[in-house]
Amino acid sequence: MTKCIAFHSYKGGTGKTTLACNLAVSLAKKGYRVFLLDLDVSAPSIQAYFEKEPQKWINDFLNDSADISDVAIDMTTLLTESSGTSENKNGRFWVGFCNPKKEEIYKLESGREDNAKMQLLRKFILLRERLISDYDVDYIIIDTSPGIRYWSINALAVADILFLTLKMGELDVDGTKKMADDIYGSLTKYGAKSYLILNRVAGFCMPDSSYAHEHNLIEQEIGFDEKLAKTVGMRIISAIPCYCDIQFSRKEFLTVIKHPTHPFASQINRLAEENEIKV
Amino acid sequence: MCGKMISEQKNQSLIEIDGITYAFDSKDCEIFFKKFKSLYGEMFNPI
Repeated sequence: MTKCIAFHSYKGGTGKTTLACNLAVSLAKKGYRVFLLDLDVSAPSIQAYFEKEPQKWINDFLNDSADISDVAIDMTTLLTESSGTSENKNGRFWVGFCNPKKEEIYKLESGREDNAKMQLLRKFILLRERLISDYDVDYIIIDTSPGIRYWSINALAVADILFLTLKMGELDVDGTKKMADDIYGSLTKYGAKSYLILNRVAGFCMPDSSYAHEHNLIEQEIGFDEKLAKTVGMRIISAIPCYCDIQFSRKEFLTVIKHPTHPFASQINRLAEENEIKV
Repeated sequence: MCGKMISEQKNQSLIEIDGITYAFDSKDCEIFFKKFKSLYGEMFNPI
């Protein structure tokens, strides 16, 4: 049975694209068949992680000018790039890129007649069905735009699991709670599961442990996590510390491929093994 | 509402929602329909 996982956030810059790309690759390395879909229609950025210039884009499929086989880019060879071998050779990995050209963004984002909108929505649902029927995928991982936007909501509606990512330090708890109530509530009542992922939590960059304990820094963080989960009404499935080498890197990279033993990669691998997302 | 035409007539289920009967050929389609209806309300008109 396929699991469709959507990464979403209330505000931008929470690291959801980094998390989505790394989780997708981690699952594929474990032997699953994974399709990563860029649906951050207004600001596509998955391309930066894969350095690929596709001939056809997800936009072309949705606009009826390409078949799914034209837009599904097979990136399976990437899985053996780090150690020369994948953890499990059965893994397959495809990416569907979203076109960052302003004309293409406008075409998908602009207002349409109701009939045309419904047609586009049908095509989007068909995309999910084709990925399952033609590619026999175990996982579809979707990167969405932040906030309450047309394509984000559509992506959340076709997903089985919703990951709401929050960046510690720049939280808008009230806004996040309102969005969770308005949007997520409409989806979880029909079976979708939603979880919080806290990103860039203080930890890796904390002062040494004696100083942190002396000044009660760790306890403050733990208490805050619990309060946040209670306020938003979702369980925290993962709390990922801030890693400066990733955050301030000049170029995006896939940590699970480039540095498979990095603590961030370990966090992602643990998330990939969570029972809640198992197929 | 499903992405494609109803493929197997014999498997379709008829579900009444807000006084209108809809045909779905899978449980997935029925769930998507309910989710979109819940999200978009009256603005969601699949017919």
